[in-house]
Amino acid sequence: MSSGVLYYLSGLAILLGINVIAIWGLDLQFGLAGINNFAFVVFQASGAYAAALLALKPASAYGSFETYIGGWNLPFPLPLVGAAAVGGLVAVPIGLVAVRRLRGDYQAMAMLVLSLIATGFAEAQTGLVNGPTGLALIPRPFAGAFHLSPLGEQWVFLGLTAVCCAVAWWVARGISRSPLGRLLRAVRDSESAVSALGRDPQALRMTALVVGGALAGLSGGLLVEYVNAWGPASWLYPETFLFFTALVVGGRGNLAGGALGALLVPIGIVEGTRYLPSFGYPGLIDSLDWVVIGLVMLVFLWFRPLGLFPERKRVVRFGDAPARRGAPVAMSARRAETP
Amino acid sequence: MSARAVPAATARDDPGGAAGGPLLEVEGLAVHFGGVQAVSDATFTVRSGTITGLIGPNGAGKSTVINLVSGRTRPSRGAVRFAGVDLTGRPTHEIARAGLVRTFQHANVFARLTVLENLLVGASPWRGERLVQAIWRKSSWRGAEAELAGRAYALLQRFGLEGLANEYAGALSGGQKRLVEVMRALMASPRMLLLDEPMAGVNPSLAMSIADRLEELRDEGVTMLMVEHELRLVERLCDPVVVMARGRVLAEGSMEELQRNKDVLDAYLGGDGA
Repeated sequence: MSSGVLYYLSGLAILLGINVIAIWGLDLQFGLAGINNFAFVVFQASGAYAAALLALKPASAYGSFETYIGGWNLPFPLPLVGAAAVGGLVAVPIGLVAVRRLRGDYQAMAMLVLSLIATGFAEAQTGLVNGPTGLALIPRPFAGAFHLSPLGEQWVFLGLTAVCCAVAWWVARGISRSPLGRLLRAVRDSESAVSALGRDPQALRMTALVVGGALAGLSGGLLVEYVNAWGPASWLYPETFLFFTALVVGGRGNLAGGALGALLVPIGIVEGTRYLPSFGYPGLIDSLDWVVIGLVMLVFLWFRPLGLFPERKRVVRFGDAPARRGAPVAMSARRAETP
Repeated sequence: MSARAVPAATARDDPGGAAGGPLLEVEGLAVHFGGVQAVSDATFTVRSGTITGLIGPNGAGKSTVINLVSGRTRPSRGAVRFAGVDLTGRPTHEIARAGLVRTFQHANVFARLTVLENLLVGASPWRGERLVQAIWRKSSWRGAEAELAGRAYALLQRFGLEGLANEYAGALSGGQKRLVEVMRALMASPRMLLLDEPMAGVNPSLAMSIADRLEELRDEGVTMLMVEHELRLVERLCDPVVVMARGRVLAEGSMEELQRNKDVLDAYLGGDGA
């Protein structure tokens, strides 16, 4: 394979990894805990801005052609850690507004409005993160450190993305297979019954929002270090629906479903159409992407609402010999096949 | 999770005094929704070890009283004391942690959890429900989890539902869902159950089997306050019975006494002694 093709494919793999992390974060919030987080892209954007401001040098170092706060020039992995932390912290005010008191459609509307407000705010504040133009020249970790070719640097970044994916997998899988995950699924089904059993549903929802937000923030940090630029146009509210579509297509409540959704929707549809032979007026293919994504979402909600990999039933096996009352025989956390 | 823990009262430790003493004291409870005075003066006591009935015509305020006691609705006046502790206006989850666990008038199971998982959500002690335990310290809850699953399975056998352990709770019949709710509440080792029409919409033979189980539980020391419309069941299970009408408590006593009480007959029983 020519190095150009390899460069392209490794780039796709990096974007896939970044999207997988984000979608696992959304799955914790929406798939597991049932929060209609239509402000999801704000969590990713917060992480991206955090990583950018932590990694950039002060604005004066670039001749002050952009204006922003911070510019701490911190080394790897601090910008990524900061991105995850900020993604989690942003969940607190958003949770207080939209999760404590609101449910269902109202929650979704409030989230969507929060997302619009956040974009408007970032555009209007020119001194904060360079207003509508956004930030540029964000350095990649280890850039130039090993004197590698562009393709070599790409492989290094892919390795870093894989490590972050492994961390995200470990967190998301740990939660979904634990009693905490079971409680989050219970909150999704009936909040009143959860509180009647002595658990605080608000605290549980908040936990899911914060951890999912941290994963979203981490994905944003990786994304900004990969693409080296970030502005309000990178995180308009339709991006949230890209993640939701991926989760609906792949399947909620399980990590394989989220990963498959990431492969099919953000990579398959959005990136896959990027190199189609152009037709029509410029920008037509990009617009058609959104039409296709919307149609895919509708088709799945209509014909296969649980996605390609539905959430699997957690089956616990007991011996059926009545003589051994109550004794679990070969109890395991094994999950049975999809019904 | 809230730091203001309410001391838990279970059947094992007994701060509420000897069996037969007052466990739940409801005093002058009132609430209105807009201009509607749903409950204007509810005062009664549930003694430990009893199944106390709560009856009354539609709109009498029975379910509202359950909601007020369980913390779902905040009272505008009055007090709720459980095992000597004032729980007035506390949130539902704190009241449940104190040992007062409710079920719902409309079957309220976790539909997309299996029956066994439904029971495990109710289970105490709680292990692996904190983030750090869930991710880092799996060994801290794996053992307890297996033990709780065994306890849940034993309970399912007792209620004759062990064959449904791995079915989604949403796929069960209405009566089976009610059983799941009662079992789930029992997994929490409550001191007292608040049962809001546990037999509503259940076929008569299953209702009898639920009644048998409730009697067994009472004999094991679980106190219950039960809203029920089916008076034959109330007569069989409940002593004493509290009668409510138009938001206030009208009378309290055994069914036999109530059937001779003129106010009760006028308000509710219709005078024919049914």
